[in-house]
Amino acid sequence: MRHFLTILSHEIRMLLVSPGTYIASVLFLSVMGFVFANLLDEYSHAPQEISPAVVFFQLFWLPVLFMVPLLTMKSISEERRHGTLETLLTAPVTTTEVVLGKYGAAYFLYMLLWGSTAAFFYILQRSAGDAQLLDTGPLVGGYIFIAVSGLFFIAIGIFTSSLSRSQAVAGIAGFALLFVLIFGMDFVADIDALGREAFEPIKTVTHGARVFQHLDDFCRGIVDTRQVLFYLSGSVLALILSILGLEAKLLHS
Amino acid sequence: MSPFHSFRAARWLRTTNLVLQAVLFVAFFVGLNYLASHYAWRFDLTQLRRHSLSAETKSYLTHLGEPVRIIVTLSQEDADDPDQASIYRDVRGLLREYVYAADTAAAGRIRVDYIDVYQRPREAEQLNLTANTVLFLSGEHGERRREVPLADLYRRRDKQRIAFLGEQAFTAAILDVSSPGQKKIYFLAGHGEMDPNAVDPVRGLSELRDALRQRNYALDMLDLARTRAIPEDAAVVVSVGAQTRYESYEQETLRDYMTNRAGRMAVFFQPAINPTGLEELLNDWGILADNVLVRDRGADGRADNGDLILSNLTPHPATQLLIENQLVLRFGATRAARPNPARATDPGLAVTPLVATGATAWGEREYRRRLHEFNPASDLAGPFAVVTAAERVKANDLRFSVPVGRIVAFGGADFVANGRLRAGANAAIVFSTLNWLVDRDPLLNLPARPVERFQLALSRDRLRHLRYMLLFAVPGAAALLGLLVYWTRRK
Repeated sequence: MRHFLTILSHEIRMLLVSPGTYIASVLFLSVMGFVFANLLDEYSHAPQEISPAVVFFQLFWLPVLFMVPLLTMKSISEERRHGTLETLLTAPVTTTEVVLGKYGAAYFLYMLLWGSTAAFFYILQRSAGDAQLLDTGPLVGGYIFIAVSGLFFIAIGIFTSSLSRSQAVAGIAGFALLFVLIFGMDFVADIDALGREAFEPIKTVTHGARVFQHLDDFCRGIVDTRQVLFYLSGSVLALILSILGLEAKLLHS
Repeated sequence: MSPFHSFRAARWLRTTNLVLQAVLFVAFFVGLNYLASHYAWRFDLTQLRRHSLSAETKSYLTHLGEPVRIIVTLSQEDADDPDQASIYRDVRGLLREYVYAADTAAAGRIRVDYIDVYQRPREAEQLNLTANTVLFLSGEHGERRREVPLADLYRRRDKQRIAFLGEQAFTAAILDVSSPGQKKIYFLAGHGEMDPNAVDPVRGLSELRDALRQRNYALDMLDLARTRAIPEDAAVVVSVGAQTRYESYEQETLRDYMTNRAGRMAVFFQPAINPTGLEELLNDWGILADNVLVRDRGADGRADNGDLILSNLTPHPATQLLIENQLVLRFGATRAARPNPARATDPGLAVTPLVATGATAWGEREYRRRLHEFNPASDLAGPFAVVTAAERVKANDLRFSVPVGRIVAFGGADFVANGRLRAGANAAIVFSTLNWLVDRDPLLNLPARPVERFQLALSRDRLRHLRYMLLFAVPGAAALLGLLVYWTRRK
């Protein structure tokens, strides 16, 4: 793993000098700013029982579904389409180092974007001057959720990018997988047929994998080792599958 | 050349190897998460652990004897009730903690099902479900059932929900359906004792009665003059504020119950009634109930209305909650109930002063006088105990002792009456004392969770300013940074 840091720093440098990164950042922050400003309207009309931070993080799926595929879709598929991956691998670097380097850079940008949204809460705090409005529990819990779940979401994006030479296909596949993970589990868990005892294990699995339930726990300040392990092991698995898939494709290219 | 030595074969062999590795890692992922589901930890990072279940509930759940099924018929959205989503969220979040806490129980898992009675009418009919309720079922065929209506889940003021009482209601319901038998408390009657069925703030115990029923106790009255015996199912016998003396045969019945049947008893004295006839019995158990009225000249020991403030507590299962949370008691008229120094050497008797007065208090012997002054020659000098517990223990062959009787004497009675039960930690010490008497684990009183509300109080101009800042300041900063990078690179 000697070259991992070299690849990571190169990827991050490329991201930071790319105009696309700033365009994406401006769009992301504009959308999230718009969402946050609109939800604060409700808080100015009537008292609400949920902290603004919780409502804000409940919309995490919006940037995840669109930003994660955009951030990751070109990372490996573009290298493969241009044939630069084979060239890169002639250097003394391994497939693992390449995948992890690209994964690390995408995760860095993902966290940078989400980290920028902390400015919204800072502005709110300065404007409202009400400490109670800015409940630290949901705020800290929400960002921990974003950090932990982001590991898995980005890994899924990298995995789908490793599946195809086409960026568009990788992006759509990433969107579909993330959609299934975020909304599909809730849908499956609510199927009445799973109420039967024979389906109890499936029900348990789907209940344990519901992302919105994880978010709810994190935002209440509860950290559950099962949920943390789900995201950590999921991201490791997605990365391993990306590496193995990439090696298989290189073998047959 | 052998086909196994060709590039083609080597490539497919390597591919198979990769596929097998992938299968192995998927299996590892599944196995790891399966293990994690059985050995999980859940941490509440909030400062006051406000989303965690109390130790009392956890104690019940870890010893849950049989599975409990919880059916929630609340729906997330209801046009008739705009608060429905909040209620649903509170209930769902709390029940998740119950399921997690009961996971460690040997036999008593908790399963929660969410059923919409309108979408699943057949099931609703089978289980006789109504909308907007939480139903607790236990027993082989769900024969023990208890419904918790939404009205019981919140404390309201001016039609607004101010506190969530879900944990109290759910724990009580779980205890109710999972316990085949209830512990029965007998309140002694016939001597002017306080009445569990009266709503009077001074002599009524209706609030205590309701709270005890909520904790799965069965209550009944017992007039020894009529029955002349303590029923077999008595878990605790309680005397609260007797105003006349117990007859000698009644004393003998109670003594027999305590000594020969390893009885459990709580005595709440009404000061200025002496003798009550129970002094002799308490003396057998190493407790001295002096005929004094507790007075306190210190500012810290007295409330504005003259109530005694008692914060001098000794560690004991009955006082654990109060010590941990630095709670204080508010007693009205009180006499002493202290360990008898003459019985301190009895090895089979453990006498613990639970609550004591401050050093500025004294026990006024001539309390019928108008003016109360501390007289060192005759009065009882503070500090001294006003609540004392005694436990008779018997060594057995297994090198540990087993309790063969417990009694707690309270110097006052009016602190459990409707008017004072909710003051300070009065209710907490009564419940934890009764739990200790009936051998339930050291239990804690369940606190209500306040319902928080968030509102943005800004003028129209400031709100508009905030909106512009959110819409333009942060994205603008990102755009500016991008332009700066672009300009630097061009140069």
